[in-house]
Amino acid sequence: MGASSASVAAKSIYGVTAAVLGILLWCWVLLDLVGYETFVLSLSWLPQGGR
Amino acid sequence: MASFLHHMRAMVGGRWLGWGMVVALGCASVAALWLLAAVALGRSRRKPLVATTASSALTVALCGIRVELEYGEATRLLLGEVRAPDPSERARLTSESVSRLINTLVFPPLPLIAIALLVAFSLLWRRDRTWPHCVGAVAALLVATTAWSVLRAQGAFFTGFGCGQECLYDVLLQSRTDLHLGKLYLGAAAALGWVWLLVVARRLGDWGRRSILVASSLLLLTGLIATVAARGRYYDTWHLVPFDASPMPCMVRSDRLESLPVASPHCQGIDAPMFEVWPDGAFIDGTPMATPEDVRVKLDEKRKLWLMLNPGREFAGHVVLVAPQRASVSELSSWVTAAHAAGYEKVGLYSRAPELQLHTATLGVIREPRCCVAPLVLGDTLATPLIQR
Repeated sequence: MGASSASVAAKSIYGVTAAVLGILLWCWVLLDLVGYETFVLSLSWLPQGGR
Repeated sequence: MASFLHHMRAMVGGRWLGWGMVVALGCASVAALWLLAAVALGRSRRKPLVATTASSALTVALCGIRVELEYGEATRLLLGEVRAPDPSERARLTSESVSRLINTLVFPPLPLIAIALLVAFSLLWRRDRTWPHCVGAVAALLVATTAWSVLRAQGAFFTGFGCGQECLYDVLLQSRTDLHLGKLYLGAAAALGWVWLLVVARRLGDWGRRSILVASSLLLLTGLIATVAARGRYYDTWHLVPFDASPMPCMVRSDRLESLPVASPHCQGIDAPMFEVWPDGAFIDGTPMATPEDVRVKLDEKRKLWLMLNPGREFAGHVVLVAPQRASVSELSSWVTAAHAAGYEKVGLYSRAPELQLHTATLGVIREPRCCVAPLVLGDTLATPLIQR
């Protein structure tokens, strides 16, 4: 009984942690994608362009 | 109100995707009002909550697609991969693309912050604290924090509106710093939400259910994959193109670059008038010069104009000769003499410097041609073949 209760508690903690971390990572990715704008705009310092 | 409409018009940019974003944002706003009414009147919040969440998610998805498309378009334009009729046309297209990009990033977060806060409130206000409600509230608060961070970072572009290149550099750094701070705020908010959920979860006791564990694991796994996939962009964000990446741009037609002489390692750029001598004729500012006398007259006009615009300053007498490497001294001497006669004692030779190479994570190696001016002593030019056939 005690072992089963501990297992449920461990699963609960994992479930909470995974959900919050997953949401946090997606929000961070969104900010990373927005931040890429600074790099795209910095390309304007190349006078002519061309690769 | 005028500013609001201006930003919305700039965001739409006359494209169907822009109108789609406006419609989605309108739907999200209407659904949010419906949700607000349901909370105020004590009615069921389920349907308005689903409608608000779905329309907000659609808005974010459409914004993401728009931003991706604009990144691609602006990058192609800035790297010269788009064949535009002339440079001014390319500059116009670039500024329009950047305007759509910035306004797409600055406009939707405004209502999304309010909508996300309303969703979090309606999930918790006088309701049973079940796990979907709690996770939904934490997610909504994190979305609101993300939208606020985006808005804050984009605000830097509006404070620096209309400023020059050096100012743009400061604006970019400020925007990047704000986004980095936003990630720290998000981390702190998520940590608080995590602790709160752990406390609530002890009471709920249903977090160990298989369906929840699968859903949480999937969220974490996709989040990790997205983080890894965005690493290249994150790297480039922290390795901007250097402000002085190319202090020596090449001012000749790209098909003539290869025929320029190769520069010595100590070659430098100077600010001086240029005259070109090619097998198909001589040119100044793209205007054909029939004879050396035309060159002399034109350069003389430039010298007088410079003296008029810079009273009291000493005329340096620099002029740059642009000619192919294969040109002989005898072919050039009459033109160089004309420049000398117009008051330009110091004739430099336009040369190809080693190209600039920028290593990026998302665009590969960007190669930028560079040109500079090598010294060319007039007396020596007439006597010795400095430019070898």
